Amino acid sequence: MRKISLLTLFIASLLPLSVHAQSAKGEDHRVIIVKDYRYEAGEHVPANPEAGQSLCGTRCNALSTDYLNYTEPGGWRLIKVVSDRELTVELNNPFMSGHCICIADEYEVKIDDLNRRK
Amino acid sequence: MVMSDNTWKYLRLKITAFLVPVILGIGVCGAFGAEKKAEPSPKEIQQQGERMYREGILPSGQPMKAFVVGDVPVDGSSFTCVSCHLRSGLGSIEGQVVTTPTNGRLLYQPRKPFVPGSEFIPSISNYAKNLPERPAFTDKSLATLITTGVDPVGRSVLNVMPRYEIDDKEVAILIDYLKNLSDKPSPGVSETGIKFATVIVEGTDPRAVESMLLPLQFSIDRKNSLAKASLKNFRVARMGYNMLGNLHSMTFTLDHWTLKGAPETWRAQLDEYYRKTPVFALLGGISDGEWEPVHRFCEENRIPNLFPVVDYPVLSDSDWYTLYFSRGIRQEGEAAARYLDNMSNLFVGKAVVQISRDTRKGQALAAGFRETWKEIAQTTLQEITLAKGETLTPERLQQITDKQQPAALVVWDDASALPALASLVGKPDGPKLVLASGTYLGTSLWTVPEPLRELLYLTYPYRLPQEDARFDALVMKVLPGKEISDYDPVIIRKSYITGEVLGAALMDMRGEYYRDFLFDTIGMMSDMYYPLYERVSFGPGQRYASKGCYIVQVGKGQKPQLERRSDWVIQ
Amino acid sequence: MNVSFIKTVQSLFIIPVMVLALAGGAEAATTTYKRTIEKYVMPDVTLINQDGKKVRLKSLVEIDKPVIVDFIYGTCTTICPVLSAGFTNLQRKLGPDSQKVRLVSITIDPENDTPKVMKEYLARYQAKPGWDFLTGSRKDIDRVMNAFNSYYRNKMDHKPLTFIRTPADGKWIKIYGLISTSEFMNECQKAGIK
Repeated sequence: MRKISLLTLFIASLLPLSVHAQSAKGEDHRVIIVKDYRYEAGEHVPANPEAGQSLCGTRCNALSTDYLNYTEPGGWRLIKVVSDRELTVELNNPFMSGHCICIADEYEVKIDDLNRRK
Repeated sequence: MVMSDNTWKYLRLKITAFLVPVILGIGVCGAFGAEKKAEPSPKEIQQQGERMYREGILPSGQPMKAFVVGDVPVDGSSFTCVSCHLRSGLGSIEGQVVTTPTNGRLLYQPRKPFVPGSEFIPSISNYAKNLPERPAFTDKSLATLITTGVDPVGRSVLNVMPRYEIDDKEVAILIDYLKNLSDKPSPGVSETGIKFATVIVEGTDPRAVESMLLPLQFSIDRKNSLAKASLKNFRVARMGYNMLGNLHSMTFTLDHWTLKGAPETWRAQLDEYYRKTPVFALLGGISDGEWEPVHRFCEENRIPNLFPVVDYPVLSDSDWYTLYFSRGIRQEGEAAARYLDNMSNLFVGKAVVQISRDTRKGQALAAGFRETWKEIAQTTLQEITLAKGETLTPERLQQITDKQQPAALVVWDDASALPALASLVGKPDGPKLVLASGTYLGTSLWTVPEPLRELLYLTYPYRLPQEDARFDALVMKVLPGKEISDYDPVIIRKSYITGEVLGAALMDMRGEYYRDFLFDTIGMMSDMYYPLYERVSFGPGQRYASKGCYIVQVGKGQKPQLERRSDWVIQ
Repeated sequence: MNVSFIKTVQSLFIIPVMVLALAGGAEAATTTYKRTIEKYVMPDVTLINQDGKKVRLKSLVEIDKPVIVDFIYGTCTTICPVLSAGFTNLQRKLGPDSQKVRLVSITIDPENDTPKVMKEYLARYQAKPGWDFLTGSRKDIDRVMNAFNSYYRNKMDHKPLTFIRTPADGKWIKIYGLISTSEFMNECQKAGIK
């Protein structure tokens, strides 16, 4: 026991600190990771599919999460709850209308119970 | 034929220009007769060798030629020794290819599949045991290796190593350079410790200075307390040695180098500090404004500086010795330009207007935007500067937008511009998009008038706050017993990153404490997810770790969240 | 012991595979690379080339000419220079017909590789028209890497991979390893490049 605690003390003191996070005020919530996207033109504006596809890329990627951002600090997990959900969002570009279909997996963010501080 | 005066003068000039070197040449040759050209001095040989090693150019000025993977020709202008063996010569590890050290000190020793004295240190022994045994090189066998790829035991080395087509004299110059490469220990390193210093510009806000120092000092103190514990407890010593080798017992010092007075006087002060205490590297450092004198000092003395906390770093594609967090305030302007340009084909023929305040911050943002825009965009940029003390009023803004009719408006100003920007909402002929700096707005970011939020796009060079909260527990570890809210939230996190990168690099250096190898090692680190920045990335020669800046909009409600409208790194 | 400790300890145990080709006496007569035929689906992403121009990957790659793709990055030290030297050599061998084959290098370091960096890289390798270097958003680049089954989270872990697309059937010849000129020309011929 003493050896392990010494080792842990020693290692913890020396290594770059990637330790479990405290349980945050952020309750379990959902995030998406986008796998694909496509643009669908608006009704009243002539379609510009190339620009639309590129801007939808930006739009959908901005909504998407980087899973490493959750797993790296330690103490958090992503659990897939929905696969290949098609989300329709407004392109939301001031110069172009239309909407984007973002095809994404939905994940629930969970605190890693083993590391949850009481 | 009669020539005009001018033509004759021109011809005379040309003839003279041609004949003079010829005559001089003949004269010189005549004077010296059959004497050989003077031998290059040792210093010149080093420079020529360095040029071959780092640039792939022979003393004659021609590129070095080689063959790689058998029969693929390659010349020095594409890649050369430094590409794989790195600047320090201590080699690299990429994918499954381990490039062995090529500095003379190690080449002229026999190589065993272990490093004597480090057999039980995993980071060193796992590296060494995969390298095949060989006897020590001699000048002759080293020359054979460089030109034919055959090692002293007759084995053919990996076909990734080029076989160079260079003559004996050129090989000799290169070998001479290798003998001096990472040979003497770097200053500031002894068997018992490593000396560091941090540069503090006098007059910087004390809270900011404290925020910069605290995590660094914590890392140093923690390291030193382990070294002390090792002296008293043999188990700690053994574990420490197994993990880190000699590093575990070394003590670190962190001197504070305070720079007083005008920036022109700093260089002399730095030289004096360095004369008194030659340090291995500078860690952190802080300045509200100027940093260039410190950057030059490091560049000329070849002293690494890791992550100074500065808003206006020196921007260079080739300087080597300072690693910055990012390209500073300017980076927000650059990101905004790229973001806007990605939709600029949708408003061809319409103007873009940039309004910037005449402060260092405003001008840095404007320069970042302007210079990037010039490189990439087709639309011209109209610019207006707000003098110090001049507020951007709705009337003035109306004047500007009526005149220019811009499709997009870029405003680099503090929160005093918000009322004017809010007056644009609902104007049918107004700009359809307004870009501003999230950091310049400061805390007013959270209270942007609701109607303006749809029109306003902001640069935000950090991970979104609601996501960064996950990383707070890491930062708390370097603040035992202290409140994070007592410190500057950005700087305390920046300094945390410095401590982490330093620790990771020192552990990876296999006991070879050379300044260039410090950067070579950092350059081999993978992308990291630390507090504050969404992502930092490294690479050989890369000197600005965070390349990103989000474009965001402010969400709805009294306690809004920021919503991303772009990727972290906008191309 | 937490996961991160184990990860860190693991990272200390590097297991290199190719260190020296201990050929001993004779050079191996068999090929030094692995070759397989694969089917890949290109994602419909918009990338940016060395001239700053937006390029839709599908339309760049799904064409009637042979296409050769590799993954590199601008500040790469060991593997990429050899891969790119191979491209330089191939273009030289094709002579004035350098556009017979479309060469596409895709960055695995989209953070650092801006069009400016990529253009300078291509100039260093004396690239002729027909060789494009692409960057894009991190997520789109990850998507492309995944499409080629070559995703590496850490760019330093990347492997020497070259992919040759045969226009006849849209399949890809995957070459794993660093190859010589004669081997490369051989593969190109097999893919229908004369």
